[in-house]
Amino acid sequence: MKKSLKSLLFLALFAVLLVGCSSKGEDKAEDKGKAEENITITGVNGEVTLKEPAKKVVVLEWTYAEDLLAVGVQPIGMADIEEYNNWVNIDAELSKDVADVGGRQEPNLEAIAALEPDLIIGTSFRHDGMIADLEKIAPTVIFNPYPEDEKMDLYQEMITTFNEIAKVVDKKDEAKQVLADLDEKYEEAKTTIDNAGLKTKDVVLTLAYTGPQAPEIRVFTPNSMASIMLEKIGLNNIHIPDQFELYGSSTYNVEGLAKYEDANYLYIVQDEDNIYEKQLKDNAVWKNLNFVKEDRLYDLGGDTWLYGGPLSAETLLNKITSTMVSK
Amino acid sequence: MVLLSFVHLTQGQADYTVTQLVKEVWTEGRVQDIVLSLRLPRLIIGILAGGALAVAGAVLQTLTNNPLASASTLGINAGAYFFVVVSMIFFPSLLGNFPFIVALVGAVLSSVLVVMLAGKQMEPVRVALTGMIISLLFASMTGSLQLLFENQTNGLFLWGSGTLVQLNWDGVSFAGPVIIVFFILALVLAKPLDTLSLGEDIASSLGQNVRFVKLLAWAVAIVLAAATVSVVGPIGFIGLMAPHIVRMLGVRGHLNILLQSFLWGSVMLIGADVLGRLIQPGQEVPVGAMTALIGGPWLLYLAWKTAKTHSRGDRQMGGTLKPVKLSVVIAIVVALLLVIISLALSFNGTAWTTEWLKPVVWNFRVPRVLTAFIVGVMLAIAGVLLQGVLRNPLADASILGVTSMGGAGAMMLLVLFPAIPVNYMPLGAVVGAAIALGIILGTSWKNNFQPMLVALMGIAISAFGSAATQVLVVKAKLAVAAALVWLSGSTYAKGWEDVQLAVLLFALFIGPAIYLTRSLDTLTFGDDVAAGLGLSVKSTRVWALIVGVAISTAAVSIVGTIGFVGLVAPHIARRLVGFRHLPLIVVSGLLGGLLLVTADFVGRILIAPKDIPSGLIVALIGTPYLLYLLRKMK
Repeated sequence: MKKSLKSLLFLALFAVLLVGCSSKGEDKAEDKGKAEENITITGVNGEVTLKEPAKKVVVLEWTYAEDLLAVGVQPIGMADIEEYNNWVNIDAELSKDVADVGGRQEPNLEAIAALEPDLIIGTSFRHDGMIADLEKIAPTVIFNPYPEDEKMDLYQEMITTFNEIAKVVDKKDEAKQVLADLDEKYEEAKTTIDNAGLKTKDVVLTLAYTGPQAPEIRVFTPNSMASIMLEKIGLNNIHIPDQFELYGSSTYNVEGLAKYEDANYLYIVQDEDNIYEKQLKDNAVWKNLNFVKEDRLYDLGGDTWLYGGPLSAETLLNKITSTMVSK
Repeated sequence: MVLLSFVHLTQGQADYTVTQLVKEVWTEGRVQDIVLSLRLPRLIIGILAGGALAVAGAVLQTLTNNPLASASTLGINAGAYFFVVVSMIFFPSLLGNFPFIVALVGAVLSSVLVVMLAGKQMEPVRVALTGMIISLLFASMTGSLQLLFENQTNGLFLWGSGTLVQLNWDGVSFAGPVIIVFFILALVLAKPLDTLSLGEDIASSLGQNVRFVKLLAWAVAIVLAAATVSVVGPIGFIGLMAPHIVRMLGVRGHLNILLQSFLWGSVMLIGADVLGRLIQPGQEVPVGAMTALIGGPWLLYLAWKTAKTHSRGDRQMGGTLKPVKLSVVIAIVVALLLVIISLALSFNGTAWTTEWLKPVVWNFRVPRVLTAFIVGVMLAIAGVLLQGVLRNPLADASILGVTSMGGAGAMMLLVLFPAIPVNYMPLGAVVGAAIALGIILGTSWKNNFQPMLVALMGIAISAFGSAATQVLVVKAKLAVAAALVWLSGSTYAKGWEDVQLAVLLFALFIGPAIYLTRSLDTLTFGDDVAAGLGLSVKSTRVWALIVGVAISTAAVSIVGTIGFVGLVAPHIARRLVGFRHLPLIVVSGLLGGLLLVTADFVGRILIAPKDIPSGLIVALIGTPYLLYLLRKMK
């Protein structure tokens, strides 16, 4: 009974997804691809056309590595692998054979060139300035996960980019499957949250670290990708920023948290930089916030990546449901 | 003071109206928590630290009979901070227990260093310059350590540029007693200090134990400075400004001066903090940057006044009198260059190759190495010109404030037009550098470009520029990642276009530079002799300044702010070939190229495939040499 329900749900989601996909203005690119057998993908730097699906891809930002892994493709080279392993925690394993091409901000051009890639994927806010250098090595596509336009749906941007990347490595079907799984996960998580009997569904989602001055707490805004995910499972992000936040979060110190003390406090903090256990432990303001006093703190772990792709989204959902239910 | 404190308390991220604050602070609850555990400690530490720095400054100014003395200009703050960083990395448990002791050791060491290097007469400008160099040394060593030990020093950014943020009363309860005790001690010393300021001879003839009083006064000043550094980090300019304001108000007698300095110091630090939070509500602007922003122009004014009243302090440029034969030097340096260049071209950090024409190497490595070389040459030549014209062996573009204003200009561009590509940042840098040069020309014109005055102006502008950069970085937030790399100076990803640009700029400026060498040679005999020989001293100075600044700005526009090359290369050259400028330009140019190619190479391979900015490597190579040099220059 349960199984059939699941597959029914799956089918329904699938249908929704198909409709969703075809209405998203990718038609043009897709048509072209079919007509000439070339593959064209669209980034913020325009259309990039490849003669055949890319086999050797170098990714300069974690999200896009994750997108590749989600559809079962290992990149040939990637930036900042060590840090990626600290921050990103997804089901798909990054192969040990993937070459490290240096930092995300200043990737090692020689190392990239030595891999002789078919395609390089970068991100706007880091690599716009070096497109010319990258294009000397291989066709380069740049995506922008933080558009200046306030009305852009960042979640949709993530899905669109994911599909584009899947297309260029010829894994469209796998991508559909991944997204279908994800949508199913949303439903599951929503049900779990509904049944958990939480005192409130209001939440704030935060990421904390020791900043240039003191403990800094990023509070995610409703336009951030992570927040859109929260809304999808029936949680209610109550942080409304005063101004448009390009990167989807406002930076606060402990004082700024007071106005959210009645919500549930979802947080991410790295173990070695745990400001809650170190700097804030004996702080009266922190100790007397309602969510601390009433123990509505939910630790999502340091390696829940809020800026990732579909697999990071799944990790986030799993963490939220498991911590919120277990309490 | 009361008013400012009140405003200070009302600032914070939690929005409470003033009436709410006043009413609810007396009852238990949220408001009381916030006020008592966050805002009040911040206020109190601000009052204590500001006061302590001001008193330390007042005492130091009397001791050295030097209006430019303070804990920051004497390098005491930077030294203390460096020691805190070192112990954080290598002896973490020690710091946990005795941050104050560590800071104190650093403070003592750097003040001893400055006094040793500046000489007994404590000639104001010389002291200020030496202190500046010591600060520069410690700051760059601190920066390097922070980059190399990123994980261990994470929490240290708390202190980096000075912050009043407090999460509990620990800081106050630690620093409070120390500061109060030593403040009282300072007040006890007020009488002897009065006597001392009449002159040492008079003081001792009045039966005072001068040495004892002096030693004690130094101790008081150093302890006060160290205590503040260990709690709120290095904060500059308060110690300089506050005592001056007090003296300007006509306060006489050390008892009054010290008391009022304390008050003014507190007011200024709290005021800076208030201002910082007004500029960027809800975000922390380092209060140290704010004080520098306010203090920079003040120092400019002060420097201008001091230089007018004090004797001109020309320094010997050094340089060997028995030059090694030029052909020999050049042959050796060129040989070294060839070796390092072929190394740099052949090794990428993991694998060797001699196929330099292979596309990978030809497109990425060759232009990068060439750019590094040309820029190194340019920086060194600019250094020769600037040192020559200011007759100051410690001059270079970064000390003149040109570099830091260039950085500030570039950041300004980024903040005003966020959409502008990083490639256009040099445009802002040119504007910033031009402003710096304009100020120097404008203020020094009347004084006939008295070398020391120009250098002092440079220090003030430089402090202002880097403070402005810091504030702008906070203002621009995350979008500055690329800008920060540029600011720290990088030969990363230089292509053939950059080589072309560098060659073009080099060709443009080398002619004027060589033309100027003869006039500069004449200048080394002193202004009067030079004028007697028919040289227009003023116009030579103006042109050499303009050309020197133009060359270094050109270099900055290519690779960002790389310091030290222009400082160190001319020195080495002078020790090899003497003080004549033409050979000097040739040799130091080659040495500069050698230095930057080496730095680029080391930065590329050390943590390959990642990159260390070459600006940092240069600082790491340059600082020990500079330290050695300072010792020699006694």
